[in-house]
Amino acid sequence: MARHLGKRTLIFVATMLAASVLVFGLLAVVPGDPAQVALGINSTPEALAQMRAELGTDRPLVIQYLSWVGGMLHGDFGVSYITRQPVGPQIFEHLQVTMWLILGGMLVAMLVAIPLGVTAALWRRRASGTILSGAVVVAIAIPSFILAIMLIALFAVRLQWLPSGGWVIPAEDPVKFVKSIAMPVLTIGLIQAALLSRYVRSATLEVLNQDYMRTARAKGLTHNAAFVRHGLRNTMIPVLTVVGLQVTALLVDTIIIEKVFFIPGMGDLLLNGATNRDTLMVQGIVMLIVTVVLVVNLVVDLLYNVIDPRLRSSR
Amino acid sequence: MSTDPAFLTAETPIVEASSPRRWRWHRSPSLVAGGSLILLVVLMAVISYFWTPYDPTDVDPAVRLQGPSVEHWLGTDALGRDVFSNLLTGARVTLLVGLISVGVGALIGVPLGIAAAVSRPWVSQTTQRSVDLLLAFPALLLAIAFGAIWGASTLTAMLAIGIATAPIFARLARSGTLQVLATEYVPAARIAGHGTVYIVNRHVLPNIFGLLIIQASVTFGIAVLAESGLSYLGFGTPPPTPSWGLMLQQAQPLLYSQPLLSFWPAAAIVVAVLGFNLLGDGLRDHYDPRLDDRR
Amino acid sequence: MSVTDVISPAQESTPTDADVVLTVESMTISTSHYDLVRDVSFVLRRGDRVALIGESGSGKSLTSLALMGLLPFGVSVKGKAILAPGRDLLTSSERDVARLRGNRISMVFQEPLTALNPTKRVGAQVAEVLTIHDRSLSRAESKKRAVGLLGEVRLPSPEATAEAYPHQLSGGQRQRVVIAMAMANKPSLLICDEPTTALDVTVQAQMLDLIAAEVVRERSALLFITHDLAVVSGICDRVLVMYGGTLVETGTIQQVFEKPRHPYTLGLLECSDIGNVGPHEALPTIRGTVPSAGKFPAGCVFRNRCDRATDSCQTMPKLDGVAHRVACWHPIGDEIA
Repeated sequence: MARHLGKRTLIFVATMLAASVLVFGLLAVVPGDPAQVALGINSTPEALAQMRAELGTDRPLVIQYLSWVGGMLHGDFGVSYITRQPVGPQIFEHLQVTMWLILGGMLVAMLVAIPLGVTAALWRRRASGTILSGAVVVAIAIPSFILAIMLIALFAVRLQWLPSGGWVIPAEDPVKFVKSIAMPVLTIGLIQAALLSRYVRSATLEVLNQDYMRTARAKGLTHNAAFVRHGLRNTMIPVLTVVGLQVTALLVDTIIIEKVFFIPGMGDLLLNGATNRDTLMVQGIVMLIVTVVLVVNLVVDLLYNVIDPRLRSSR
Repeated sequence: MSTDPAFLTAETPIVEASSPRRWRWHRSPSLVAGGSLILLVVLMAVISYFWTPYDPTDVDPAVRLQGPSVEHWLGTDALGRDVFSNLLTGARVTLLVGLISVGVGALIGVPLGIAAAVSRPWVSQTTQRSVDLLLAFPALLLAIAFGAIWGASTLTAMLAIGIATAPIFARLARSGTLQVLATEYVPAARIAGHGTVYIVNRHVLPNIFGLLIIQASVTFGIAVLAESGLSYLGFGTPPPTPSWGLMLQQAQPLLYSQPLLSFWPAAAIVVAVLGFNLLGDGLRDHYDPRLDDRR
Repeated sequence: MSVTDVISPAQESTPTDADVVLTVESMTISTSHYDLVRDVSFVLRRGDRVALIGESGSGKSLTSLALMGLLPFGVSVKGKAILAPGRDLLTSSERDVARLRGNRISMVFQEPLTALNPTKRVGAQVAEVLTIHDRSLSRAESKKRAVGLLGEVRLPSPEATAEAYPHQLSGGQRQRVVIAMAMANKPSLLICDEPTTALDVTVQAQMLDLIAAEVVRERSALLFITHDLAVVSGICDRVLVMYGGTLVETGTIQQVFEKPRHPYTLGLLECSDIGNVGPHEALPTIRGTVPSAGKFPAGCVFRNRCDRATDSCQTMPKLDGVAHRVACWHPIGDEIA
């Protein structure tokens, strides 16, 4: 087990390094001189040189890269060339907002997908099962922002229960806060749930066809009891892996949803940064997202080894 | 990934190239339904090249925000542009981005995957890890990053989506190739003196073709989703080129007064994505009916 | 004539109807297209050790699954299977049958490697069969009894084994666990479906001894399904020969194996008796192959492969006789008209 852990961590670190090089390299090829952008066209060469020294863009790329990575490890994401503000604090401020959406979305996704997928599998020979699966197929084809707009049309326009956008700080007004994140979280969660439920259904079917399910019934359990007692745990193992893989899609959806609902989270920061060609900002956020994805994958990988007893002892 | 759950990797077996299958249309509703929806979208794009009621970019403030009428079948938008014309023309971008993205993804991914399968362990491992690295970069993120660098355009969108989907093709190509390499045709070919390139061309490619086509269809759907999202965010095709995502972005503020404006582009996007997803399912049914999960 | 069979030599005393454990009457198993098992009837008593033999596809596994209520989707069953005292297994609801499974009627399957839940400890799985049927049992008590059961099936260090996961045990050990689970509630009928086929030959003999010992101790009836005739003579005293979904011959081991009356049984015995084949002699076979389901000939199911078939075989023969019964118009020993 320890060997596997060590190996996996090594791969993780190597991948992180490679990713950071990729991200940095990508945004280092941005045409244009940040110093020029900051000072304007009619600046003197001396002023430009001075600005470059200030911004640090006159150093060789490798040094810039190392200083960037080194800074990030301390939480210092550098100072934006465009806004002249430190990037780090902005990111973390917006991150707190986004976290609500991500965690809420994941919760909703699991709460919906697992019962949905299991039911679809248990009903697979009934008409209701086919209808359920069909509905899920259609749901998967709906992009997140369209679902969001549909929900807005229903809950904000028609019923007027919820606001069509905006963000309220939870401490200030808890009720309004909940109302403002209800639809975003619901949207993110349902979109994830649609795809996740398909995996749950597959995993459930796989389990239902195992011999040990037949043994369980031969012991005196009915179909459903056998599944709950023996099948469920075995279903969760592959599902867990998929949940980890889904985190990428979750993050992407969150970015889009923040735009739909005017929520000042990371997505908002990223989009603005990109529009303004604020490369350092974009660099920092992309790196953060990639890190989260890689960390989640690592955790899932290790967790998988712990949860499945067959994998535990053999390492 | 070594911890892929069995049901994700074990399912799609390779297709034997020597046994062509007849297309059982009546047995696969997914195939028919998917095919029809896609045909509809293609039709829209094709028609738009020959005729649209109005020039989609034609701005006419006098007739703005009108509902459906005889002159404007689906009404007009905030700038007086004909919705129907924009809907038809928007199909072009959708299909173009999908096609190029899938092409790029396959062209990068498949050779990498095959290479990973046939080469020495350490080369294979490095290739795989590099491919896995790409998986940490979702299409949208890449597209936004590209947009930050070069300014958003159809091209950046296509490239980004293509690069982001390459790892999926690579993995599929790799596992498919490994399966073919495990058959008896391959050692027989080697004994006969054939090299790796011949084996790849003669045995691997025809047999993984089915797998790849299925994945292409699914990826097309993903590409359409991504493109519409990007257009909605403003990082896809820039205006005034009509695109469904952009239409939706402009229609959203008007939800209270003109909900129908949002409906058409939304429906078009869902139809396109659904079509490709269903086609992918139908193709899967065709290539291996044993995968019927209604057991 | 009633549906009675011969006295099992394992019982010294005269059998009474109180000893009857299972009465199967005209059981027919079918899908929507065709019959898989037709008109099967037999009786089992306490202490009986009956083998149900036949090739793959003869319907023997389906028969046992039908009794347990574990038929796959799309397969239905008609007829009666009365488990003493008085419960018809074939018409009871899932809930009622579930109460009997693992309790009064148990089954051991063919694949020990996949029979147990890989994520639960072995002891807990054995204890479960006790608590399912006796809610009042405490966890500690069921655990204790589970360890005892594991000892009874001769597993080494039962306490340690109880804490193990299935993948830590060998195939033979896992099969013992399954047997322990099956016998835990002292069922009146134990069905074994090829329990030793997947095991090493050296382990097979031990397993058979164990099954025999368990069954004798609890005076359970044993229905042992197999295609291996050598195994049959080791553990059973009566035999039911099945072909094409029907019983073609029944009787004691001596009667059926020494003086087979059905041509199929004779063929089977000859095929198994390769020890007596001389050098350069062809191995004995039954001509033709087993037809797939639904493609058996009308009338006598064996007639397309039988050298003794005549026109009268176009009608389906019924099981005829008293102790040693055969379903054939021209049994071995009779002249063909």
